[in-house]
Amino acid sequence: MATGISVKDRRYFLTVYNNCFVGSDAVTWLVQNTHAQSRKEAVLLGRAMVKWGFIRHVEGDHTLKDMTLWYHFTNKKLGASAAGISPTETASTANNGSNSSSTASLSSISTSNLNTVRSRASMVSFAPSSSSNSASLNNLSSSLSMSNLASLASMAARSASQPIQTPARMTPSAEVVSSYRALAQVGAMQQSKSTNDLHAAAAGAAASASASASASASTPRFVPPVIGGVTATSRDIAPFLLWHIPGSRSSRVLWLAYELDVAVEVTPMKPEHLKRPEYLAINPNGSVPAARHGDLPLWEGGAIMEYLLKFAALDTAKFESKSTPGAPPSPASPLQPPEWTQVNWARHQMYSYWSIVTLDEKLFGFGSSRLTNSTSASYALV
Amino acid sequence: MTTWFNHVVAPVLQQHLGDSEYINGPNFTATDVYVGFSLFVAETQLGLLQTHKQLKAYLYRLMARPAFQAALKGWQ
Repeated sequence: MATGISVKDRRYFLTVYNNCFVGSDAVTWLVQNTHAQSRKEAVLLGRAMVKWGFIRHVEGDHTLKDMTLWYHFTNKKLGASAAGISPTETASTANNGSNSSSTASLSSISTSNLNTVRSRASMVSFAPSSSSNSASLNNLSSSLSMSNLASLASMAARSASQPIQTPARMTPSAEVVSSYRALAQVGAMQQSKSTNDLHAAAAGAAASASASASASASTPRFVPPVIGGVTATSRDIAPFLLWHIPGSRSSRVLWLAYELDVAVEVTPMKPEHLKRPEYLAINPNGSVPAARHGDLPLWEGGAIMEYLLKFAALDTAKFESKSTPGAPPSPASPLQPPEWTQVNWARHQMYSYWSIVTLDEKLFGFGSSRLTNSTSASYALV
Repeated sequence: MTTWFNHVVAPVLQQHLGDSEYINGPNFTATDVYVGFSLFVAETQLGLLQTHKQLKAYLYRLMARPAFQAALKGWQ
């Protein structure tokens, strides 16, 4: 990728950023080289690359977006794992503005990056414990995570091995094609914009639930690998699906998702849809919000918000630039609220918060019947 | 409900808010999302914030945020 897009010094008012590229250029490149079928898919891939530390916004303020925002290629994670780059080479990347030398060292960086990605891909491929049930959605999504990681690896491989002078169009490898075929199938199942499509989504969720039940009986639970403090799962690339009644309590989750810049896909609902069996398969409580991220179903607004905060906290680019190493998180860090909530807010919750919430529920006419077991289970998940 | 809000909910929120911009200090945090939506319902559906100028100003600060406006389009 370093060779395919324009990497150069750019100036914003008085600050010069060395060797950066434009976010929308990267998205265009991913689509043109058939790593992604749509710009939306390319953005998700790019976000995973930001999360894993291969690219980074110049100020660390943004994940990858299809906008005129500037990004660096980074070798940050390699110091610990690969150690393949000499300091002088890195220095020349930082100081030299000319394109040829910077791309040369950038491609050597991505060679070592490749090893990291490969090791991640191989670790992940051992991890999912899906059953032998090959037709289930569960299997599909775990194989999706493997093949997507593989496609990232092969992408990095081709970026690295490609000669600098000839940025020719690349042909997709078999594994990339198969991964996107799987992605398209899952996407068709999950993109339930209308109520009719809700049936399909519910069927998928039910299939997944039964598959995971049978899987947990025979095999140990899926434990995502943690490499360098980053948990690698299929969720890195999966969109965040949210079932939402406009104006209801689920707005809280949507608001937080927008604040945290999480890629969210909203399925608008109406109150009369809540008790339909196809929605009960998604959320047995029959209430909004309900969410699904990759293979993880979520319900209860508080639990989903906690999950979103934890997921965004893994988005390292968002925090590292703002806080000095070893220092406590700055007050602006979104990590703070859960702590604060637990320590200070919980004491007052019974008197202040819930009085409004119960009112809120009466107002919208749902939320009275709760499956307490499944609800507490959903909190335990996050 | 109005009495409950005025005597129990509002004082606790006021105490936490103090003179600061947001409930957690000068910076916006996720707690503001959590609390803010409840205040939004209290204000728009029930008009409970009429006598609480400080809370109302706080709510309007939250409502001015682009993410809020995107999430609650048409409900303000």
